[in-house]
Amino acid sequence: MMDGGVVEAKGLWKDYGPLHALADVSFSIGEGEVFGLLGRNGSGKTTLLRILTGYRLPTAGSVRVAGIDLIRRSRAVRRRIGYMPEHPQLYADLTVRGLLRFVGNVHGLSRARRESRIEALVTHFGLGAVIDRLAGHCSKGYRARISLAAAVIHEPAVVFLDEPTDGLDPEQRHQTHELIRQLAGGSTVVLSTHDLDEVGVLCSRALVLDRGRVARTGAVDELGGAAGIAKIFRETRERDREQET
Amino acid sequence: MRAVLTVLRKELTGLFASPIAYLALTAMALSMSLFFLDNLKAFNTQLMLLQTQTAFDQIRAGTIPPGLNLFQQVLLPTVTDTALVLLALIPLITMGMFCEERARRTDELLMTLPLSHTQIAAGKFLATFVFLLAVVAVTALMPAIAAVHTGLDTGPILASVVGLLFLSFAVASIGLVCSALASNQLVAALSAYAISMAILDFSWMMEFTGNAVDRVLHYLSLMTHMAGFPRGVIALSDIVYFMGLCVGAFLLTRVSLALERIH
Repeated sequence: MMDGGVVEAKGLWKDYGPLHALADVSFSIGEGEVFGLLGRNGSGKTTLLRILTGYRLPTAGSVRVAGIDLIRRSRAVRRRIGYMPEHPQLYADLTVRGLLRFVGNVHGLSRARRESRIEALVTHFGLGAVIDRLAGHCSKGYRARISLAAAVIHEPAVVFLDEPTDGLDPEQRHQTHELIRQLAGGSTVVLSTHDLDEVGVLCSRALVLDRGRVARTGAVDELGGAAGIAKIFRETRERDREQET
Repeated sequence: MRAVLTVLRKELTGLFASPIAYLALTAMALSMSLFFLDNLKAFNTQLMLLQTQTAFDQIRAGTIPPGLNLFQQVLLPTVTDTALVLLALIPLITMGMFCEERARRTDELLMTLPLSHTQIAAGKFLATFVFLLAVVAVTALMPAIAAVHTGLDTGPILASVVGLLFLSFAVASIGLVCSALASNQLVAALSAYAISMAILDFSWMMEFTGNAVDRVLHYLSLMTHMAGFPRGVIALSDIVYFMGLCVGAFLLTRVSLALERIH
């Protein structure tokens, strides 16, 4: 158990030239939480996730994941996290088994452990039909599941999911929700989405980003559930419209 | 080391799964055979012409005119021709190593795994080098057959193969750093061509420079350091030059990966 949160961000800034993609973002996520990152398109959700996973460095600010300074010890943090990017793109020349083996090897799993994890994940995520197919050639639904399986093969402390149900049909969405619920038992889950129902169903707490700034954060119930968050979105949209006119 | 080997294995799987790999191997085998046979044909024609001239008497007397031998007339030009084909081919193999990751957005997966920039770059460099071993091995086939059947000295042949390997590694390293820096594969390949062709032979530039600069340009030319290998000379200075190019390109690639995280 950590003194602070499993994920702690303080005063995060990310600039792209004159544009502030993130501006003074601070928050903390507790162990075992399913934490929602919300915001309209372009609000900075993906930028924030990319920083939290060590893919990009912030312009300023600090992040600690699992008690480790992400900026100074990025690789140590990346050993403890799993990441499913938005619209997961998988290696077209590796089979699903090959991809899972590659990720398992990079995480330093022993051969026996790796194979037993792959077997468990194939059953858990229903990948039996595609296990020997080229990963990049699988359908969108399968790609999402494969990417999720790759993200958790090493049983990470924190799993970051960037719009995991985007573009999936209702049945696939339902299946993915189930998988996320099951994940939440063993890991902290950070879920970036613009689907408010998803947040209502899955998340205990959420952070709403608006043009790179924290608009609101707290328990989903405190934010008024999906309806309350929708109201925040409406307000920000109307404010933007007013500013444009 | 295990992480580097894991990346190497993944990259090799990717290389051998791509049509470019087989195109490269086929192109190498074909061009090498054509050059070798063409040079051999020219050599035979010259021998036939000599038979009708006064040199015929010389040959009969056992004094072959200088330069008229399989080594100088067949092997040497074939090595030069092969080096040029490699120069044209290698940027096509290396152009996608980093660019394609970015274009397909698989870099997001790779860069969020617990791999250092050194491990990623080392895995990709070593995989390319291993693949080039196969490409250069194909080029060694014809001279090896010739050596077996004609009793040609194997020393220069082996040294030529070593030279072609070093040249391939150096050009591949340039291609890899271009792939790491460029925004797309075409730019990566064209930049690699431009740099490789520019440093291939600086002699054209020497007409406009002074003596001191001449010496520097002469040292920097790829061909200067290739010259000894087909003669059977493996000089440490040539190896240092080629390895220097590889290490320099590797370090630049590593820096480029680190800078990518800042963007």
